[in-house]
Amino acid sequence: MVNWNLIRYIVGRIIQTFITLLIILTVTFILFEMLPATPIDLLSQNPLIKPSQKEYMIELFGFDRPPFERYLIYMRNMLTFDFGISYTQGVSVNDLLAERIPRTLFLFGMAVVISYVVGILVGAYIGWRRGGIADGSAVLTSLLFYNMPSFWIGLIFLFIFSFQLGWFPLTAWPQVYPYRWWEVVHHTFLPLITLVLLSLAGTILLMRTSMLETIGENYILTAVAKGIPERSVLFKHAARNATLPVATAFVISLAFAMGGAVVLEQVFSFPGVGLLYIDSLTSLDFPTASATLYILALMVLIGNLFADILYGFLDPRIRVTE
Amino acid sequence: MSGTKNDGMPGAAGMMEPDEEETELLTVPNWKRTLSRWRRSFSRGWKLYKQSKAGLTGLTIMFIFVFMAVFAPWIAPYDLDFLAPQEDVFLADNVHEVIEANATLGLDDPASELWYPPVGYRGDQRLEEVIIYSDGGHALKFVVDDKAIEGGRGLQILSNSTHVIPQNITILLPTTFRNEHFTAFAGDTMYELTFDTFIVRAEVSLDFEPIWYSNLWNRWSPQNSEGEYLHSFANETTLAMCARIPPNPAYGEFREKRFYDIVTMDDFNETNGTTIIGEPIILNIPLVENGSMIVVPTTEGIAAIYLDYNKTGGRVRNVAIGEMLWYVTYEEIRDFWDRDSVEPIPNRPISIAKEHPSEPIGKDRIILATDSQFLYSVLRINGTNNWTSTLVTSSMREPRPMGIWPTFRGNLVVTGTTGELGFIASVDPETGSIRGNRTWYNMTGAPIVGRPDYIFSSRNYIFMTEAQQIVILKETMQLDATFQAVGGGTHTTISYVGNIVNNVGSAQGNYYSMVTVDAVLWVQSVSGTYTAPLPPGVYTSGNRYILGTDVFGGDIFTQLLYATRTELVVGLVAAVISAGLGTIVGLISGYYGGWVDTILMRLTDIFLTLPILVVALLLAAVLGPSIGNIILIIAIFSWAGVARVIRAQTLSLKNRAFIDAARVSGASNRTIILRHLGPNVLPLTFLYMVFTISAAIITEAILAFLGMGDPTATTWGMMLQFLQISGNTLTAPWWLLPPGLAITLLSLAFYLIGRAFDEVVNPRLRAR
Repeated sequence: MVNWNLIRYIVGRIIQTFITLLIILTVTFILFEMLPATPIDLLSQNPLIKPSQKEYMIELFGFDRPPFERYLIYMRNMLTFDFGISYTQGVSVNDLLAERIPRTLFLFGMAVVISYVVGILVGAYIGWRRGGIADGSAVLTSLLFYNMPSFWIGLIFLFIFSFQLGWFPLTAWPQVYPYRWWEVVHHTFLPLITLVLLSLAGTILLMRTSMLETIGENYILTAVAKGIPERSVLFKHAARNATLPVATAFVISLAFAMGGAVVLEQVFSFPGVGLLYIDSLTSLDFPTASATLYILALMVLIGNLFADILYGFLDPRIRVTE
Repeated sequence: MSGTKNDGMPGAAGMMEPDEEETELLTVPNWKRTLSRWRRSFSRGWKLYKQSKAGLTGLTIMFIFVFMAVFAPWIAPYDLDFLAPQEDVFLADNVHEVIEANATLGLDDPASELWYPPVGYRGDQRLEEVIIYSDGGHALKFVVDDKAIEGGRGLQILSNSTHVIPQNITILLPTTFRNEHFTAFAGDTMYELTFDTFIVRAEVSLDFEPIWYSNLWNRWSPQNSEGEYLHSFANETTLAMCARIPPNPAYGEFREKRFYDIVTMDDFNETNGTTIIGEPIILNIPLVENGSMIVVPTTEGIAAIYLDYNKTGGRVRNVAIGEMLWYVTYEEIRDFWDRDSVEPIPNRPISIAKEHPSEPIGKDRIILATDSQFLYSVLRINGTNNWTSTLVTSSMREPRPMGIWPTFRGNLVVTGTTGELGFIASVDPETGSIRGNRTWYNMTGAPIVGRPDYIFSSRNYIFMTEAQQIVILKETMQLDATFQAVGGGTHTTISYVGNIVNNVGSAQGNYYSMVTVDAVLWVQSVSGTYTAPLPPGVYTSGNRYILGTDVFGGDIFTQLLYATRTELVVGLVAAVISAGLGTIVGLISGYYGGWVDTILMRLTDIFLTLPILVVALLLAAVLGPSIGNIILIIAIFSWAGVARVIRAQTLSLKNRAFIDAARVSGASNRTIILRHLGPNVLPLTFLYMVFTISAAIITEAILAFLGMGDPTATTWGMMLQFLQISGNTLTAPWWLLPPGLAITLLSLAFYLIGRAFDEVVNPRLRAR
């Protein structure tokens, strides 16, 4: 039987995501309009850009047209993934992005998944064992990591593990093509583990708090009184229910992890979208910066959409009502 | 990032029970009563708060930082702009004692003469002699020896000699590739002096007094592969040229020949009525037809004037200033690029891409720096436009190029000002943009003065700033060393005269500086190794640097203390703005409901979903680097979490009896929101404000680290950004650790306070 409630919920989420995307793009467009140099200025200063490319760009983005028309053209370009040519490098932005997107997706996606799974398990456990040594040390570590600037802990790890101990290379991506998987793992391990630790801290703290609230509920007391094994109460009764607020906060942790990924790409010179974004921003390379920003936002939004849809399947309240 | 942390606390459901007094609706605000109520709820809250150990720890840390911020000037061992003295940051192999020139050199009153920056004579391998000169007709020459000191390192001024040179000399230029002689100008007379004994070899009386000379960077004069040299000089109206042709024994010529020629701008149709505004530059490419020219910047445009070589066989019969090759007006450039204005900067408006004497190829463009922040390039051969560049990067606001210096590595070094700071950027002559985007430029504390210098062997650039500091940069524009002029004094001239030994590299190399001071003539030589950033410890001067120094010799501990002030201000102001904004949005949204609620909450959702840091970076790039903008950015991106929570609280409050009662008794919506709902959500507002302070401190650091910070402010983030720029990240842990720890601790402190406070506000979180 088709569950119309669920379908309505999913369609609603998709529309909402799309609207969010449109608003982000609009804000981005306005901000780019406010840049201290106009696109024509930047476009004309680089002879690497051939005259034909220049014409192509003016036609593509309509730089010679009034702002509102430019806005429509910009939206069309972004939504059709037609990003034009980088001002600083004179090559197609799509080409620049092609090999970087999988890398950032790997770093960001892995970090989110690992930190989420581990965070929930650790948070549930230390919440259950409230007041123990494990609880104390885990909370303290999490608190510290939660309040550390991401780049700094990245620099410290780089200093200790790459520079002093020499366990990991100083560059976060193998230099030689073809990339072998173990080389990739070796190179990306340090940024990945840093990002995981940073995202983990928030999840652990949140899960622990949520767990503390849950174990105060009467049904937990009932379960314990019935003589159900502790492990079973912990995971089946307490943790499962305590996960809900954590799942709601997934949205925020995604955005947080993305911010962390951008910063850590910079610290570890990981050749991903984030590094390209910051480089293009500092040189005011408008097409590259807007494309990378769009891609980064898209990653977060699609991650959210997936989480929401999954949530729809898991949460019976949505299946039944809404 | 800010805001993201807020929802870590599921405190939304919990709330303060509204006080019973709230039901007394029509009472006029009574301050005494309000105060006592506040006092009561404060002491009640404090009783709960102090049960939390973490909360007390947080408060303690916060108070320590507040103490540090308030008493920074008293605790800090040094001033904020303190730099470690020379003797600490410069490990001298040998500091040669000051020579009091009046006693040893027979100068009665050196202060009465104007002493020009020293000139170094560099042989093939090393610095051999140093010359200082004055307009009073004195030249002092010092022989230097690097072998005099044991181990062959270090430098000693061995002997000096006083020479009489023509009076009223304004400039003394070592004019050939191997410093064979000096060209000197005194009034309208040009002299050629021998290098060793300053004997006048030639004296030419010009009809005018030159202001600008064509001698180029690094004291290379235009000299071609045939051994001849060309020299050009000008005042506002007149342009003169001097060519010296070496003897050519193959044709029976054993005497060198000199040719002079003088023209005025009015001699040419194109430049009739214009005046010269800067150095003429000679481009000498003798092997190319029409290759030699003088490029002259004028008030209206750039003129390229052909140099007429009259040759028969191999013999040069005459060299004269010929016809106008091309002339391009600023108006043409302006029209071509569709600019508002192209006003050239006087004195140093043009430069050429390459000018190594032995490298004729590549002298192909002339680059113009203008007042309107643009750089323009025109092709040498016909004056057509090649590119235009604004030098924009997001962290340098309104860079104003003041000087362009060609280098031997094929890039241009552009110096200028950005705000109160000076900047140095390495620019790609092919495109006019800063090389490597964000890394190939650096900022100095004061604008650059004089000509920069280049050391071939170690590939370093050397600049002098208005603050009498010598700044040595790597070729990638990363800071290598700085040192302050020794001596001091009001009329100090300072000059770097070169590496003692050419093949010693970078910071480990030997530098030599020489200073002349007004009252007494000082000549001081310093050689050794620049050692900053210094690890913690006590140094030669007796100074103790508890946490070491940065690359300029600034005390880390002092900076750490002063930065606390900025951090607290940034955190507090940003948090107050964002919590205030969030509360207003939350109250309005919760109270009015309906479409207002829908719109505001969708907006809030978007802000919560956004990868905030990513968008904040864009905003920072657009707004430009300043503390105010950073506060604004943090506030803009962190109100959403607060709004959510306040809205939930408002929703549960608005159906309470006391709100209904207020409405029934005729209170307006505004009154209900401000007087009845507002005070009840205030504890939550305050709670989230505390969390936002924590987030703001981290956000400021991240923005600063990514190059979007305020370069004039001292913050922990900027300290780490300078560390990163200076390239010492992996070698100076004493610089890396303290700012990061401080950020972590202060952020942690506010976070702990927030958590403890949350337990007060939200009773369900309390331990049972």
